[in-house]
Amino acid sequence: MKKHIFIIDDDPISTIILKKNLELIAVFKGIETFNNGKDAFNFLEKEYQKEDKYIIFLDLNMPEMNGWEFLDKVKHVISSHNTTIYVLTSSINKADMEKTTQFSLIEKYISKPIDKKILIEIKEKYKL
Amino acid sequence: MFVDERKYNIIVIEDNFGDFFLLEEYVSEKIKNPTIKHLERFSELNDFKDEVGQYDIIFLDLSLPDKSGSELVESVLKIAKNIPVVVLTGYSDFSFALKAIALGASDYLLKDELNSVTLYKSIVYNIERFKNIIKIKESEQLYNDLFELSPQPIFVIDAATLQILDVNQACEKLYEFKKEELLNQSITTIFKDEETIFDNHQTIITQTHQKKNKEKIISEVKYNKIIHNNKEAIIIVSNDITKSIEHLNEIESQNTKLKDIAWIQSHIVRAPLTNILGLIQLINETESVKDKELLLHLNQSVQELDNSINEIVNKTHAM
Repeated sequence: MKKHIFIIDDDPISTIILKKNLELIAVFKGIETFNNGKDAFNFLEKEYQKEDKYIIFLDLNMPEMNGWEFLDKVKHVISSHNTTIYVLTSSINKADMEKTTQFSLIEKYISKPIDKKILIEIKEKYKL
Repeated sequence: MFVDERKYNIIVIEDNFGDFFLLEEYVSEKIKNPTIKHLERFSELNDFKDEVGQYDIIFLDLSLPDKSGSELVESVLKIAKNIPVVVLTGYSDFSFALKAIALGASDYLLKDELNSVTLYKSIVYNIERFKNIIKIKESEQLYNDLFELSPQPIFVIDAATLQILDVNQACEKLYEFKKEELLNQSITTIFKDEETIFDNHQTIITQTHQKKNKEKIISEVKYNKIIHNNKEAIIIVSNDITKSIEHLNEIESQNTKLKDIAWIQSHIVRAPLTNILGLIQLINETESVKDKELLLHLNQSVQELDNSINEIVNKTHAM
């Protein structure tokens, strides 16, 4: 079983920060980055494997296809059995937080900047 | 013989002394101590008009030296206002007596047939009957005022043809039409919604109405079926809610703007800020203050934050 870590974010600095943090806890393998929801969706539509494991860090405000649009589309392609989505956003807007409850695919709503402790938990949980 | 002891104040306008004395005598046969004011000319009545209200009834000869006929009857009725006018006439003028009644006189008496009994009956009957007429007139006036002076615009329309049968002053004021311009026009002159249904099911409807200057207003309309001049009609009360709707829209648009601002703060302003926080954390963790790459990103993020704050301040000024 292959384990994939997706970072879907249009902000390159934010992506670098997440990648560096993953490096700090020694997670290097299986990381793929996407600039927007559309690229990530197109990739999943083609390459999604039922037997693989997907951990997705999803930003909300992105061009082309934002986080919400991605969630709406991707739920028809992937299953929550092998896919876990963490919304990772700069937003502290209550409306955004409440909206996440509408998607069963979402494991957690995380406000940026991400805390290394959360990454460690994720690493242990999925044995990355 | 019965004599009425109640107080009667009577005006007699009669230029013929013989006729007057006869009448005075007949009155005195049935009424004890009547007050009789004798006037010989219309001009005398006109001079006396401020005191007419203290009298109970007026007897009027139909031909006076200074005025006669319809003109005399109309002028006297104007002065008499709330007291009955009984016309006195001879056989030759009989047809005119009827016309006087049509004009508003309360009764007529033929001089040739006059006697104390008919005269007394006429006095008592007309005074009492006129009291009731005054009451009816007052109640009619009250209802008319309730319609005419209601602060709420009211239409009465024909239920079948939707023609406007009546409008009140508030209606003229709101829609800026004169009453004459609206009477007999279709209500669709004002009610501009395609479906103008008046059935029994819906009693409050929000509609678009058009004023004379073509300006559109939003109105909340309530109506009821009534009978107007023996025809099925609909009475419609219109409540101009344009201002409240505009006010509501304004509040809603402000709410949208506030939500936009919250979104901008969260997504645009906070994005570079979270990067700065994230980078500082990394610098602390790795103790790599000399990491050129991280410092470059830090600088870039601070610039972005400054830019987005400037952008928002400019947007707020444009609002």
